[in-house]
Amino acid sequence: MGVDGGYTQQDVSTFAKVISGWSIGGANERGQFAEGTPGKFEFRGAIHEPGKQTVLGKRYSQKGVKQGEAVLRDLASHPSTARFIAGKLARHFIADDPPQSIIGSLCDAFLKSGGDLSACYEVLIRSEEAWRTVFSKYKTPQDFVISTLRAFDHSPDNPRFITGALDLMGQPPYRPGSPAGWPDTAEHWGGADALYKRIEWSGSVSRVAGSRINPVDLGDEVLGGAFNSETRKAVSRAESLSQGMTLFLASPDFQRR
Amino acid sequence: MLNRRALLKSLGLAAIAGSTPGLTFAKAESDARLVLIVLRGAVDGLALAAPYGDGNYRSVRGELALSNPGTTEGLLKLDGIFGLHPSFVNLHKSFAAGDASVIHAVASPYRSRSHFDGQDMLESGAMKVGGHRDGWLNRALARVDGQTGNASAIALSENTPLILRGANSVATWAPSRLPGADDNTLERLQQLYADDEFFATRLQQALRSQEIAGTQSGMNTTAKRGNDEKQFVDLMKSAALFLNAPDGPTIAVAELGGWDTHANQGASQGALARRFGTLDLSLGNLRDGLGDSWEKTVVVVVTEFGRTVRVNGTRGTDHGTGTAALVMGGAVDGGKVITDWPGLGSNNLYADRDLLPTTDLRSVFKAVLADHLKLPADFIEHEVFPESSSAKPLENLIRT
Repeated sequence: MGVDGGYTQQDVSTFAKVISGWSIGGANERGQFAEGTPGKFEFRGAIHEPGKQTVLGKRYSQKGVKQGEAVLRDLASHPSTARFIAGKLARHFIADDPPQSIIGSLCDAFLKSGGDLSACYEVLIRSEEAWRTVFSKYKTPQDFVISTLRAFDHSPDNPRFITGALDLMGQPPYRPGSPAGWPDTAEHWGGADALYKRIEWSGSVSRVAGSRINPVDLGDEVLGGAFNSETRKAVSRAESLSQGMTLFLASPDFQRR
Repeated sequence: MLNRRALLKSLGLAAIAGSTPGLTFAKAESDARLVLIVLRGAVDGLALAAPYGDGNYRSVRGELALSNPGTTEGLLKLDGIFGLHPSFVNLHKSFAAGDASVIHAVASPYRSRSHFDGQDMLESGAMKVGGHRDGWLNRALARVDGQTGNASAIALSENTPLILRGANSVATWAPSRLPGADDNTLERLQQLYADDEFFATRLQQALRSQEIAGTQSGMNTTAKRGNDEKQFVDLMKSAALFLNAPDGPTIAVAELGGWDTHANQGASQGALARRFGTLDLSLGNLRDGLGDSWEKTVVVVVTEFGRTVRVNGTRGTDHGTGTAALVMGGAVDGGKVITDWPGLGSNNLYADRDLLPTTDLRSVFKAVLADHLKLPADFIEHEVFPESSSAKPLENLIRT
């Protein structure tokens, strides 16, 4: 629903009661709670808070697991959820500060389809905003590292190659430092030092891989028409293929998406 | 020291009297240096500065209680009630010289027990979690003179922490752990970025930072992860270089984790003592590195909340409320423990478990902004810390 979704701390606490007893099957390390299949959802009636509950002003009198399912169903189709998801999609796929018009269309599609994300994706794909040639999103470290590896069609044997790079650029996997997850805007990722780390990492990668691949050809292949002619010229004029690769990977063309 | 301070003050006043008030004033004030260190993980304020003179101290603290000043591994005496943890040798020297104070039983307005949320409120300066998307120090920058073409503040970390995030431009720098990019490639990138302001300004800032930090001999460009204690100590050397650079930033923010001592916290020795030692060494490095600039510097050391008064079942302490904060620097009106001490008796505790906060942390920040950075009171009240009228700026924190 998002932080401004209109719920209160009381709603959060009550919802926690509603889904008390929702668990995973199999015993814990002390041998308790042996029921159910390990790794699968298991409703434990014994530790469920019984009784009617009120969430977001609506009273839920269902019993057991049905109560939580009913609340989740309502939350999923709540207008705040629609607006929150629409905002996230537009911010991720279009721009840090997306046009209100597209958020509105996404929101409508979400509500009309009962929260079917495929319907939202269709709106995105059909929208004019999503197809602007000027790439407006500054890649997150994860986008950057993964898109580099995809450009090289390379899967590193050692996962540390990826996690180490992400640590260095400030996006350590699974540790966003906030329960809201990683931010999705250039404001957060655009630190000067973070850019410098990307340049240094581009240099390291290029030293290993870049000497065997022509960066101009690679640019044409992965960016197509979005490969700026000035950037293309700068890359082609580099003193070595490796340096050219560094320039390509660190270029605004490749750093944006 | 006092003489030089008096001299500087008289020169400043002379300059103001002699020419256009506004301009000269602004220039004179931009001399002030501020270092803000955020200790992430909730520091045990009762271990940092222990109230050995509180009659309940030994009974509530049990095995975590520290020995009285003057005994082996005893506290470093601050006054008849408080002593610093024995690891704080440098800080204690500064305290004795009148350059450091401890503010005790402080807390931000946050009253729950989540690190994320506590840090969010500490850094945003809001009255609720997520209340501001930018940091209070970034908002304050609107009235801090930037050096020409450069940001007035630097975050000494890979990403800008919330406290410095926002509309005003800030620099970031952290020691590189990769072989640096060569000059030729960097020059070419500068040309490539020339038409793209986003990239151009950032690369310029980064290069300037590399230049300043590179002047430090034996720079830790190859420092390894896991050795974060040494890294932080070195980082404070770098902080001094940044703050002393002629066109460098005047405000630096650094962060250090490792304070969440739920188990085996230790007393005069142990995990927390080592961490305090790192912090103390870092503060000493900062003082030495700043040299003459120390006189116009304030270092503020804060954490998101404190820890439980009583020891838990794993010889540690859990998330609490009230804690201690530090201010240090030649511009600090120091040598004081500033507190409205609530006491450690069971009737005095917050929620029957925590040190009761009696001073709002924002009162510390507001005093630093007003008396050290000389920001206007109504700007602080309305733009930097809205909804903070109950938290009056602390008096006698900064030399004025």
